[in-house]
Amino acid sequence: MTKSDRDTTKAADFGHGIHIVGGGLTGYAAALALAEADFPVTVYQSRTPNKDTLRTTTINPSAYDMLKDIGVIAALPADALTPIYQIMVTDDADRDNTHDPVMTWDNSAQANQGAALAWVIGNAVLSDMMEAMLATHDRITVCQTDITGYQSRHPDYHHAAAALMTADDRLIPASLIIAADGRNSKLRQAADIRVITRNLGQSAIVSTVTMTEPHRHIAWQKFLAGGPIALMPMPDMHMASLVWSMTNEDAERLMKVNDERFAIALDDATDLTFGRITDIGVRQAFAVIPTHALWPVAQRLVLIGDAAHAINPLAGQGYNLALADVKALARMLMAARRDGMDIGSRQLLHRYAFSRTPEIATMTLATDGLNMLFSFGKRRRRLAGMGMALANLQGIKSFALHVASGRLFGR
Amino acid sequence: MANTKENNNDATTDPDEIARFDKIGADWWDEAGIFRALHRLTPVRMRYIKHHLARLRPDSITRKSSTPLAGISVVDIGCGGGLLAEPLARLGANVTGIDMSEVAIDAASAHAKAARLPITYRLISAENLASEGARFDLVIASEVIEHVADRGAFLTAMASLGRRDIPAIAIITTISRNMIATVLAKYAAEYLLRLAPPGAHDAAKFITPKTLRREAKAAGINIDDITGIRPSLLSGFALGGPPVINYAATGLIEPE
Repeated sequence: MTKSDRDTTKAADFGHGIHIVGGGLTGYAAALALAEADFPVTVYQSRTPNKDTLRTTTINPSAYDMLKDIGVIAALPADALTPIYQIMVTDDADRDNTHDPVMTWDNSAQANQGAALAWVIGNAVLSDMMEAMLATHDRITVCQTDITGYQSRHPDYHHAAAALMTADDRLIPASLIIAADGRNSKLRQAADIRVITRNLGQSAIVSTVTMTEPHRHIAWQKFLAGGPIALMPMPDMHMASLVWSMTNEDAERLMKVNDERFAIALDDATDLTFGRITDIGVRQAFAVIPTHALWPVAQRLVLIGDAAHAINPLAGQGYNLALADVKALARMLMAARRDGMDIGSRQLLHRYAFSRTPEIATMTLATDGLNMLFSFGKRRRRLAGMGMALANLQGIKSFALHVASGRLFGR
Repeated sequence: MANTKENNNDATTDPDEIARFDKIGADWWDEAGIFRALHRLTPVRMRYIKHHLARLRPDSITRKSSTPLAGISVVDIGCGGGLLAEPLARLGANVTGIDMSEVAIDAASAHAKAARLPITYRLISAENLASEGARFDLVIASEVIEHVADRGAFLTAMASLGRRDIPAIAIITTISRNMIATVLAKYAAEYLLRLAPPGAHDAAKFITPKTLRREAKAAGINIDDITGIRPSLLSGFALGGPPVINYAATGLIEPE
């Protein structure tokens, strides 16, 4: 939307505005989506941003469309997105041919028609691009301000505004607060929103690896005893992004060994699917603690993305779920504006929370369930192997793909 | 915003009703509070008003704008805490809210100020406002007519608040008068579901669409639409269906 298309009076900007807390990929996407819908927004990012240059994000078709709508896809360099044409899931059960994947989705025949199952993008590339877009958008104000707290009612405005607290004890009135401040959301704690956490004593090691064989646009995943390992294709045909979940003890041990020892461990874990691992980038480890807000709204506050639902990273669905949050929220706010409604009203936020429940619950149960099944105990894993063989049946497979592509719940 | 007691020796105001609303207090804007049903009703009321304004005044509604009601003057009679006045103002309408409850007008004024919305609130009755010569494009009485003392006089006052040069529009929402409405809208809503303050309604003042149409006609308002408002599990209320319990009515005001 260009400036001239907009109502020049800006008379619709009553109230105390939309305030997005969190300078991450989710907060940025929310800011861009709402600004494109002509809502003025303020984004607060911490003055000490933690940039994770290593991690990659998987974008499903529904999320791709969303990023396209808000102009991000067009702005990205051509090779920023690596398409996935084939998804291969396997486990380490003793079968006749251990190299046979238990489950595959293969679109490589249609690859030249752009039939990607998903795309992989580096978090840093995406984040930098969005930050640049934020800086130039006339409806977005970016503040380098640490937000330390939340009050359900601003003392000066009572029911008409909630308040954000800054480090220097200022109170910022807000019609609506969108908390996109991540898995350890400060605002979630400040608003007293209860969470369910499942600490299974797992950590994930992330890195980038170079392989002797090309990745052929395959997203590869294998369920090992301690947790799943995944290799996601990168722009360089011989490079992949690694996410390897394991017990905390194993992670601690593997973070200490040198690159050669780590490469040997990787060769073992990957069954040389893409040949030997020849080079390993910087390794980072983080604890995997799925966290799920019971009801992601409070007075004039809504949690989105990891702040609302930090799911297990094994399926690479975290950001897709976050973008689906943004899409649903933007749509509801636009409908509310058409009816002249208060954009932070209780009935609106509750309706949002209600509408997001099916997809979030499905994804949480699916990722948690897969992890639980495969990571612990031999008998359970045999059961899981059978389950996956069963899942290879066409109906179940296409259902899983529908959920994963974001198209079952997205309209 | 004039909050002083103005001359109110009029036929339409029921002092008992006003005393009741004064007593209920200032918590008009607690969405989870005793007025939560009215909050739930508001998006539905807004959709109805927008639809019929666009139908009867296609030229004055700027559809593409974020303020489609810019330039439309509205009086919201019995505005209470301003639950309907605020969304109207957000869409750009020039809104005057009037009520005979001082507590309500105070709550409405305070909230509009806090929400930074330009709305004029006055403690005055419809007929006194009309005799001041105030005229509007749109005259609204939403969930009010079932509280007034003399319905005929009230409808006449409504009609007299319409502008004269071009046909003004009157929109009324209220509760129908039948067994179902009495049981659901009064007893179930007030005592069982606690959706409305107990004693908020007197079922004897409920009015059927047929009676409303006849009485409005006598007052100079030609009602040409009656739409039911039905309870909905998801959003509280939805437009459509027969006018069994809640309903909305629209009519053009005859220019004398």
